[in-house]
Amino acid sequence: MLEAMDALGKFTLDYYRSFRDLFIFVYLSFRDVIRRGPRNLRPILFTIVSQIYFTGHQALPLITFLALASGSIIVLQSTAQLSLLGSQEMMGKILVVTIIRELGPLLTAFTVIARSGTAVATELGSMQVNREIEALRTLSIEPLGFVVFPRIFGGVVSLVGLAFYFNCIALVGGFFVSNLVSELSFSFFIEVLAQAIAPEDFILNVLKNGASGLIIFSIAAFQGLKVKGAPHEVPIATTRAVVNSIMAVVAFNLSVSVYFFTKAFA
Amino acid sequence: MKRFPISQITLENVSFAYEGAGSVFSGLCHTFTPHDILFLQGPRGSGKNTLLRLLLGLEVPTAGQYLINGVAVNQLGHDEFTPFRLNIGYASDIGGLINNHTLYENFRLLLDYHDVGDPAERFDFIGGLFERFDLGGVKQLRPAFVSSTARKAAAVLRAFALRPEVLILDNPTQGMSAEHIPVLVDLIREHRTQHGLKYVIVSSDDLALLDLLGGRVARVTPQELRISPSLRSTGT
Repeated sequence: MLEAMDALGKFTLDYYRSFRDLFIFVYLSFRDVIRRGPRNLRPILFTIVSQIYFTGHQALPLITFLALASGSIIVLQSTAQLSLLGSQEMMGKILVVTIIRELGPLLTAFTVIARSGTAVATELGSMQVNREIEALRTLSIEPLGFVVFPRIFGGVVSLVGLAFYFNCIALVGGFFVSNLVSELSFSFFIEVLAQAIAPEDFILNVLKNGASGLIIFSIAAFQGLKVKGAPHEVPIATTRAVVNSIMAVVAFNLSVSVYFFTKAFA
Repeated sequence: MKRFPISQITLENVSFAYEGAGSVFSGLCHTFTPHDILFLQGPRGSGKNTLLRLLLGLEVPTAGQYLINGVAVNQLGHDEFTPFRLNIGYASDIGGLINNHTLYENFRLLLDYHDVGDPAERFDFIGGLFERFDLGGVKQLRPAFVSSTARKAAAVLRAFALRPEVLILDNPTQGMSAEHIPVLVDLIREHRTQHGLKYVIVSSDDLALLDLLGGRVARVTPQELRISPSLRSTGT
């Protein structure tokens, strides 16, 4: 019993320390850029644009496929089930809840973790091994502002953009695919969707995806820079980044959903 | 970005130990003499590399003080140390170039980030350095796409990019092409006579370089740097 309590205490303390260190890490990276002001933007602009290109633009084919597939499944299933109940007007609400509020942010986040979270952790881990981070310090270039911030910022922008794209493709594309097997008028589809979407959904979507981006890229960069110098540490850091990101993103999305669910019922 | 001139470098009772390892220095005292070329030598594990890391501010003494112009470096924040650090040129023994930048961008980054001096004049200077080492043809390539000797030369050259007053080189000739070594020696001499280079600290067992460059040998021990009394060669 005591051993279990010890283990729980250790787990809680470790979790608290990791969260605190991660928070300080993110704070210092943003602080460095703000402190240096506009003169810091030119050297990091290239990295921000590259990050958006790799995380956002290059993920479009995969996101398109995922959005079409998941959108089709949900539109098809909801059409089939709701027509049995005779309440097809509820479809808009179901689509908004499942795709825009829940599935879109989660699937986009998982895709970004798999593609870019791993890439960032590996790249930064390799930079440690190749002593590039140390070289930056000897050149008086703060790695947190120069290496970490642009990756987090570019990642957040990309994730918000990708999630918006996912929603559009999942809803519109899903309708067209499902229309091949069932008769559903486009005007009816748009009408029920327009009724169900509230302005808060857009704000919530941006905040939720922005926060997921912050979580994913902070964890990836943090784990990457934790590599001390041996090449075998890089895959370990990458695996840790993926596991921690998935857990944190799911926990965050679950918390937001629970909060709004309880608020709606209250 | 402002740079502060460096007129005195002192280690005052410096002790240092890596976490979980034995002590490397215990009460090390030394004042570096300006206009001297110092070759740090000693067996593996004697602390040559650690001493360089202390001088660069990458490590902080566990006790004692590292002073530049009488100011304790370990009490300075990043911003306060930067004006000094911009006057310290450093090349590590391996690696150090930013791999997602071309060789030229590796130099340009330093100038853009710190916004030091007149950009046109600085870029001409960098172009001249590349030409001198015959790297003009590869300067627009990333480190992974050039030969290891070109990488090494570029990494060592970058230490000169800001025309520093203190030059710290860790095994500069290790992996360097034989024809680049005399060019490096000329470059160091030129910087000493024309560009205000005051301190040259080299960690190297390369006696040929020592003969070419001239300088004093400093045996690194935990308490002191045992400096050989005379110049090894006739280098200026």
